[in-house]
Amino acid sequence: MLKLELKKYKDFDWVLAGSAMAVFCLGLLFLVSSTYPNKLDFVMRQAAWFLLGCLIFIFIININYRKIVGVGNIFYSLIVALLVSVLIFGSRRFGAQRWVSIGAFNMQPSEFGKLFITITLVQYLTSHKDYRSLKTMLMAFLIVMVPFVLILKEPDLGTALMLIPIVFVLLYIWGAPLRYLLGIIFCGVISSPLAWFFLKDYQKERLLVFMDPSIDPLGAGYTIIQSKIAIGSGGVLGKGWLSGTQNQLNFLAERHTDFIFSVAGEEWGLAGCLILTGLFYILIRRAIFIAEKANDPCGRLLAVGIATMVGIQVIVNISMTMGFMPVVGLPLPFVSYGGSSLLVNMMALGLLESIAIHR
Amino acid sequence: MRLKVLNISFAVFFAFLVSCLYYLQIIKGPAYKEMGHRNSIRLLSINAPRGIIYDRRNIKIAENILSFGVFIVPQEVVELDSTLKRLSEILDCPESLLKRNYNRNYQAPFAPCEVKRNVSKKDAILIEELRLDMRGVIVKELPLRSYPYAHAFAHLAGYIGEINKSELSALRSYGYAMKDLIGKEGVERLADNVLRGKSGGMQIQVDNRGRQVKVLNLKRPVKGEDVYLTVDAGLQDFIWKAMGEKRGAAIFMDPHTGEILSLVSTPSYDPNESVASILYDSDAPLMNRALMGQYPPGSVFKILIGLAGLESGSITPQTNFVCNGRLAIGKAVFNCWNLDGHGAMDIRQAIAESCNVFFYNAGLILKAEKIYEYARRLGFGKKTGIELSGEKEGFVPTRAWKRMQVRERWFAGDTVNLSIGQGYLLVTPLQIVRLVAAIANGGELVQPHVLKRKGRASGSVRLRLDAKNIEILRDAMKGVVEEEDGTGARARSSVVSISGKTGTSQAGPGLDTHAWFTGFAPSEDPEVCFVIFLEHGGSGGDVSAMIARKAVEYWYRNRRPSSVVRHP
Repeated sequence: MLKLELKKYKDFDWVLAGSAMAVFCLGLLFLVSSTYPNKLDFVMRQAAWFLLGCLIFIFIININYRKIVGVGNIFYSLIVALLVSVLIFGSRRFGAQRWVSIGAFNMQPSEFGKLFITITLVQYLTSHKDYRSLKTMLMAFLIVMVPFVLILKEPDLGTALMLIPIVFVLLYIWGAPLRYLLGIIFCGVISSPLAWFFLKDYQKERLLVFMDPSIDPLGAGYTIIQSKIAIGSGGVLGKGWLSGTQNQLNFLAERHTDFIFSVAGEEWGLAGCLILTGLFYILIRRAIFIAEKANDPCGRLLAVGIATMVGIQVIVNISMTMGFMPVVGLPLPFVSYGGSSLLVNMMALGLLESIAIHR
Repeated sequence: MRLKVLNISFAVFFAFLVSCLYYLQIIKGPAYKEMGHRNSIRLLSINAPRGIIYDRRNIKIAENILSFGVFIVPQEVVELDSTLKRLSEILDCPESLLKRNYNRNYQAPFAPCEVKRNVSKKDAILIEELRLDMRGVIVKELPLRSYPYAHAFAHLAGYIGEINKSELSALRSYGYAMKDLIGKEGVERLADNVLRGKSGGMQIQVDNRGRQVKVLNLKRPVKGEDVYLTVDAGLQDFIWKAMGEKRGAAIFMDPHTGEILSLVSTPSYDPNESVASILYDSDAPLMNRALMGQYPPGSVFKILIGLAGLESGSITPQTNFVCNGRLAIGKAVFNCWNLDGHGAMDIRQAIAESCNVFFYNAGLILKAEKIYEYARRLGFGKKTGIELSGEKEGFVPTRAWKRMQVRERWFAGDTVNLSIGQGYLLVTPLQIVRLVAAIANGGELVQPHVLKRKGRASGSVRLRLDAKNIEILRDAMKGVVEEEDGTGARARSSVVSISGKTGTSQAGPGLDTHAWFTGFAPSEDPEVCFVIFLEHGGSGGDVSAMIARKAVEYWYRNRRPSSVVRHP
């Protein structure tokens, strides 16, 4: 029995877990710096969330991922219910209604939405093998549409938009005909100007500011300009841990959450940034590697979905701190402060290991 | 296959991230570094203490005294409005004024911002005691420019004020900045670059709200250099008091070196007060009459005519003209001041008794051209080049000028008028004192100056005058004071022998005449030369001669370095 257990764990992906661990540890250092010299509250809480995340991680790797995917519809109902309750009972922060209180904790259901909807989609797609059926494809879009609209309503544009590449990548890997996918993308692009009318004023402003940060240097553009200055002024080796002037002198907004990469860029320079992005790249490559090795469509799709979820967040978050993408509220996985985000990423990591183990 | 596409896509995206990082941190790195500095580093300048202005005996003419100023540190103040209200009650001045000063002087949250200067010591102590109640309010000691002699030195010392737009645009490249104090007049102005020193500065690191985090760098200001004047403060003060309410100018100068010992212009003003209120005063107190005022010299010009006549050979020491009170040229008649006539006059007597008719004749022989030539040689019609700004050139008329400007030909009467220092001729008191200096020092046109110099003053010109002629003029000027019939008898002194020349010039129809008295002392071996000029001051032999005598006596008693001049 014990032998069997050990044999089971021989496929545990140490590279994946190690790179995630390394990213988290680096992230904790950035977090210390971004909240320095105030109390270490944030760091302690993040560490606590991490420990909780580890428990969930260990719990999940021992479960066969197929069982989890099998109850995808329950996750789906759960997340839709939570998103609706956020809109009804949720608490407001920074002009958005994204949090719901559970006991002493504030939970952000849209974070969980990314993963749960991915699981639901995987469940739906693995139970349908008619790759050429447009109906099945549209059905997949419909599944996403409900939480998409709910999240958009909070509003949390970044997380909502995240769902779109996940659907496309899943459909693509699932085997949907390329021309269908391209067709849908084409229609989307054509109709995207219409979306302008559905955006909130501050979202429009963010997009405009992205085009030209100098139109509003003290308002919406301020964050971007200061973030670019922070990263740019880091140079090759950075200003040193706890020594970034942009960071320590409070010029960076949201620097422990969405803009934590600016802290890394300023204090650790290009060297630190390359190490961090390199670790992320290894992590994502490893996730896709697990997808390649998975011997059933379920594992392959789930691994790909998770890789996309994490990868897109990394790319969008880092690009946005450098001013190469509009500011949408997306955290940097394993690094940005936030319990919901960290727990979701730990779950995702657990699922990946589960796929690696349960071949 | 499709997974491979996914793999490649991610690789491409990450390559994009890396190239963005490279662009931002390497290519644009230095630019962003600079922007980061500008974000968080502020410069706060610290003014340098201004140099002191001393007189020739190291008495302070302009100094820095301590005054108290009330400041507010914006980042520490809790409730600005209530704090200002409190202060306005203590200082007994309107809250709106404090508020306006605050807004005008605000620089940065960490920089103390002046709301009231020149606060009494009593108020300063009171505020200091209430400090705990009024957070962010501080009392600082401020250097205040002070001129202990006030009016007496106003035109020499000048005053300082905030730099204005045109000064700033002219001087920016010399390190002047907004709100700098700059010398506006007098020595404060001409020696500003020396007096002002080098302001220091503080590099301060601030946070995103501009609050001071720490001081990164401190450059101490370098105190301005002190300036030493040739002027004698005691003499200056004495003459200023002797001039009283009268308008005019008085200059004492060392005839050998050109050192100005005293230069007074009245009416004057108090440089310790704001000059704004007197800028448009009809008495023009800001005008330094000693070098900006242009007046007809009247009879003091006879010194020049006499010198020109002797030097050119037009007249000799023995030349006599008979004065019967008037001279007729054509239909015009030119009077002597003594309508009874002086009788036969030679140059010596003519100067001593200031006979007009003698000089009418001398001038007619000399002709306008020769008079112009000698006037120019002795520095008329051009600036003396004293360091003080605003000096006027005066004016010596010529035939050509009259034809061009007045559109009339030059009459013999014009030459006659010119010979007694009337007509179109205009001089400054400074030019007159220089003329007298040339007589006193044996023929050198000195360069008047107020700043102490090492070695001989440059700019002095040897005129190559005949010593015999100069001796004749000196003797004549001694006669002015010493002889029974001399016009300057009131300058006669039992303390020191004085030589001089009176002048009473027409100031225009219906106006009192200008009074001149110029000369040197002691007569035998001149050590000082002087001019006392009173605008509409009546006769030159009257008040101006008396002031000259008193001033020379004062100078004579106190001129030795051993005799200490007491600070007022």
